[in-house]
Amino acid sequence: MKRVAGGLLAAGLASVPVWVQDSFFLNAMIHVFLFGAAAQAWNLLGGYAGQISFGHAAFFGIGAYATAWLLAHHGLSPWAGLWVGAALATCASLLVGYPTFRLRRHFFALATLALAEIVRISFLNWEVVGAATGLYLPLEYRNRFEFLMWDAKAPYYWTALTAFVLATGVVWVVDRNRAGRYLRAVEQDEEAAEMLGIPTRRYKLYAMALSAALTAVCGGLYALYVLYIDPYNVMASRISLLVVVIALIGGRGTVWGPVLGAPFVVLLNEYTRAWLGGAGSGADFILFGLVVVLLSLYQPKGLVGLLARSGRPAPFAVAGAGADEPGLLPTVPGNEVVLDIQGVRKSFGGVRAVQGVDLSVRRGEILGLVGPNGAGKSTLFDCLTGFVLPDGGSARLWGRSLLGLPPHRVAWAGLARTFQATRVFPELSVWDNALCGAEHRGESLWEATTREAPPAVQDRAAALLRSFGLWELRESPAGELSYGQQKLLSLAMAVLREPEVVLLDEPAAGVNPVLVGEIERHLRALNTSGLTFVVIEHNMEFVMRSCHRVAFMAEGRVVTVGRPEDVQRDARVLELYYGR
Amino acid sequence: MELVWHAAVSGAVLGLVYALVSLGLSLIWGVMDVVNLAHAEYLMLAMYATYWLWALARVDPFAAVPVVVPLFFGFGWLTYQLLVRRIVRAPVATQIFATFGLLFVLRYTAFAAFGPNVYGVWRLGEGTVSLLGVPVASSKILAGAASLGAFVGLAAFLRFTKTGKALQAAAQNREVALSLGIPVDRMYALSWGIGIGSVALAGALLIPFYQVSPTIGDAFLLVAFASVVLGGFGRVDGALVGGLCIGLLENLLGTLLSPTLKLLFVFAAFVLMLLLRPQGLLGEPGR
Amino acid sequence: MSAIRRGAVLGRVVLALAFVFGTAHWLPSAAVLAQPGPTVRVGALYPLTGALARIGASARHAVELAAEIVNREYRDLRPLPLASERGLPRLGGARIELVWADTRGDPATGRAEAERLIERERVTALVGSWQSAVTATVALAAERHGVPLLVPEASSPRLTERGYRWLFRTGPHDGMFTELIFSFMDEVGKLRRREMRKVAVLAEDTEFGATIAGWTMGIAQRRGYNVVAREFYTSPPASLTAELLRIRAAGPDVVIGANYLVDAILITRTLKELRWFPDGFIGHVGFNNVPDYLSAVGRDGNYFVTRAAWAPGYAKRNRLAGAVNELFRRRTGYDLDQDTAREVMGLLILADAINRAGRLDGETIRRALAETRLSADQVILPWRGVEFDSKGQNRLVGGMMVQILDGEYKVVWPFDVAEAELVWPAPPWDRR
Repeated sequence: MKRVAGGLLAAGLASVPVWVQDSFFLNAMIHVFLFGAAAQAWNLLGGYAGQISFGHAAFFGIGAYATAWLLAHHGLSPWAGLWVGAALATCASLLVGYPTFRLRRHFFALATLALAEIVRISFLNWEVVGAATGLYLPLEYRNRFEFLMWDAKAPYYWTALTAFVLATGVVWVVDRNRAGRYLRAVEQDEEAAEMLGIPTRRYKLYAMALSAALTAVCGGLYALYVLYIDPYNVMASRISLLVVVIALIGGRGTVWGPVLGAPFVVLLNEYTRAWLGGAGSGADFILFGLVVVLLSLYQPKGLVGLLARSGRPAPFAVAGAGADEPGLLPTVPGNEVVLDIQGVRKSFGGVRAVQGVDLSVRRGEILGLVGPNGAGKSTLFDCLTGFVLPDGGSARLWGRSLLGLPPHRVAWAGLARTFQATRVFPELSVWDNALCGAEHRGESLWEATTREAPPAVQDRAAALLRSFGLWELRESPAGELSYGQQKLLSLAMAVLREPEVVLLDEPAAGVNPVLVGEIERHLRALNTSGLTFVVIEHNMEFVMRSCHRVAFMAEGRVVTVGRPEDVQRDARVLELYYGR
Repeated sequence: MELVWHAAVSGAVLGLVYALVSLGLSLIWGVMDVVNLAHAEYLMLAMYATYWLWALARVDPFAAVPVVVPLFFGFGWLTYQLLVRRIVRAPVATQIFATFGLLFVLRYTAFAAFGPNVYGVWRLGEGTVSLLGVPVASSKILAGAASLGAFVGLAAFLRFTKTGKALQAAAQNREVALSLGIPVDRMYALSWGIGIGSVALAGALLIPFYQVSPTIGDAFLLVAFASVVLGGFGRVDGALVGGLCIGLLENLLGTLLSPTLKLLFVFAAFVLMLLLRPQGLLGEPGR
Repeated sequence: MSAIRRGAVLGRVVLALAFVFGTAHWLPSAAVLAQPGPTVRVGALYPLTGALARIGASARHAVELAAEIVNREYRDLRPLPLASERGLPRLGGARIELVWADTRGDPATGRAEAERLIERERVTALVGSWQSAVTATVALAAERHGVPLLVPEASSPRLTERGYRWLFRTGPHDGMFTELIFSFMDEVGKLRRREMRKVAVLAEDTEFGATIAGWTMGIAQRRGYNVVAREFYTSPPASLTAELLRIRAAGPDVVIGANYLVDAILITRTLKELRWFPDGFIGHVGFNNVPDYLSAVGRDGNYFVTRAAWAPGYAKRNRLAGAVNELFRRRTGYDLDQDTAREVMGLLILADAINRAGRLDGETIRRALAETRLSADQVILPWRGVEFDSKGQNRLVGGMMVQILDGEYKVVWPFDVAEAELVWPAPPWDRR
């Protein structure tokens, strides 16, 4: 049904020039499609990946210049020129993105603003591309399909429509598959995504490259349409802003946002002045500004969000505990050392947070890591998982060194981790959150873009959610879960890919006693199925009940390791922990 | 050599003006970690306000300062109460988009009200004064001096008054400040008042030698950001150092190498600083 | 035979969106008021709203005055083309009917509106549209539909260099203006026996600025001048001190500026601040922006020289110009200026060609335009007449130089039509 409606709409749109010859209207629609497509491209980076760019005019301009210059100076068909433009814009975007993605988000926005100006000033002074005089497209190539230039408006309408459909298609494919999920995860919590093994910088660069290439194609088509380009009409900040406004008003991070935003913004812009006449009052821009402000306050998903709001069902009621499971006893761990930590040290300024920790984690065990606040437990986790670069020491997982690897590589090596304060992706659904925990080692960008997670992974995710009592909630945004449920969810995300060792940072903190029991049960069940855990926990009862061994840390060192009851009785522990 | 000296002196004066423009941006950024993309639009509105006072009531721009600055202090306060307080703790993207929308609203309201024309104030008795052997317009000297005065005043306010200290506390740690009984919300509103008031001061002082139109903010927004980042964001003296650096960089490299590329130098310095030393010239290396 | 106005545009069912946003567009244009007799419809494209609305408003007065001169009898305006007859005699006295369209100063809109005029309003010819960038895109529509486009004032040389078949420009282009500036300097140098071979250029980095800088370099070389500095800036600049310091250091005798109003004001102020003024500062456009420039800089604008296609002073020297200026003044309350004078003349030249063509067929009118021969006494501008070269550029154009003296624009060159004596070199700031 939906498909039929979509097909009818597409056919209707495509046939418009057949029965409307009004140039003014066709011109407006060509702008709708071209800038809508550019907004769609921006959406990949600014909407999905959350990297706000105010510099897309640079990519638009690069595409326009590449196409126009190659055609004007070498007679190269735009069919090739558009690709060259896209390739150049991709290179430029990678050059820009690689260093700037380290920056905090508003710095990135400012940097793109400045970089676009740098590109524009460079083009203004670059004689080869006509400097300030710009480039005229040679008119003798008109009305030939291989040059994509016509006298009539209709063919432009169709090329622009094609570009728009294409860009929307790309975003739709990304949105439906793994890549979209990962990009949104990156947007919401980069560190958490990284810890799940998502190579965040690679995805951001990917979004940026794809975005730049699509924007460049729009720029090239625009040049073929206006037939004259200079840095003022294809590289001005006006273009960056127009694209941002379309995506924002329509709804960023959604497939249909730019589709709704483009006609709204462009047509309003084209027609308001005709309505209001007078002195070109700029009323449309005041309206856009107000809409953007109000949407940012009340409906970040833009027009799409406004339309969808009425239709979405209320969140599910909180489900009860999961299905019964047989009481499982902890398995007897083996003696093989999975994770071997030796002499790990880390100081911050003058504070020696971790001063030489030696610890071996045995396969199949649950190792408790206890100690007073400030003992260096979380810092040790940070060192192991690559968030903090230790000053020295070694950590080997099945003999492979972990230290110095970026977090996602650590994850690939087989180490998983949860955070002290839960870090789920609040705007992703529970189901999407769970699937973010899939194995990312060896997952290619192409695969992530074109395919959903394999059935086996989905089955396991479903089984985990069922057993954690989250299955009924799978459609809800994770941000609507209770704190305890979020803890369960982050546990599910950490264990989905069956890592060698799971580091849990205070899984029971801040949770009601019933849920503590449940978490404990799940922990044991997972352990029984073969997973190895290291658990930081202050709740001693929890530790005593669940852990095979306990390591006691104080002042940045492991003071003692042993069976829980032995450690609990250790005089040093009593003194250091309880101050007795 | 004389050329270099001339460029340096007039660059320094220009830099002081840039510093005054970026003072408010830096203060607001530092106190509540909100980047105000609409900052330069307040400059534009203040220039209009000063212009109309001159055009309709023949109020000299310098005499207009006591009117314009309190007016815009209130404007900033109001902006905080109506808009910014709702986004102080929102995600960065929300903050960026809210102030971005504000930029559109302010700019095109000015456009609707005053039209696209360019207005400038022509002061009788405007003269040129010799500063360190270099002729500089007397109104620019006044603007530079007022800029220095504003920085000293603000520094004194922050260091020696109770309110100033409370403001700093609120900037450093919201939760701790709240627990100490500091009205953080009021402090935030105050910083918007001061921030917008100071940019209005810059506007009033600019109009004798710089003309206003609705899009004039473009000439200053990126430069102001560059000043803040170059000096070290979140520090009031950072804006001063940054502004001076930008003014000198622009004028010296522009004069010696190529004026066409002078903004390119400024933006390149800005981007390089972001990449290599995000904490700025004065900032401590961060986490 | 006359272009009969089509009936009201039939309602068409368009996409819902198109319908909502498109309605305003289907209204008939206001200029179409029923008049008896056959009419020739001419489309006029000017920026009626937006940043250049004021220019559009005065252009409207000028073009309407010209249409009136054609349509009514003005015996005392003889030998101005078509002034002394009613309407177009060879088309049975048909009247010129203007159809107005708003370009908003935007190239894309200009083209869309030109297409609307041609397709929907069925205009016979187009006139407009002040800005070169907009005229360039309007020309594309004119080429595509084979409709003559008459350009009275847009001055980018590129417009006629691109080989459009249907574009005719009656006024001078920037290259010709630059040539004019050098002729002026030649004569001044000879007359005042002053060494003035060193020229500097200060231009904004747009097509306008770059074109003028390019022509200046070429002409200077040909005529034995030395361009000692050439500085571009991005408009609007926060400061022009660096640019002017470099120019001053190069020690030019004359500075040629290609700037619009905002920057002209800043240049004036910066020169004053630097306490420096070359022998002569010759501006292309911004310094001649009446009255905004002088109201922003006051007496500091004195002694700037600007090139002009026309100036009110010329009305005192030339009977026809004076008479037309009087009509314009009666209509608007102010004098003609260099734009409106060219616009009045432009439509008259177009009407003359349509009349000679004798039919409303595009190709015939195009040929008639190409064969235009008007003499110096038939025009209200300081031209040697009207004759188009193969590219559609009037090759008999001329111009003059104007200097601001005591807060007024005075024609100072050519010397035979000067209304005030040129002050050259300009006095330094402390002796004004």
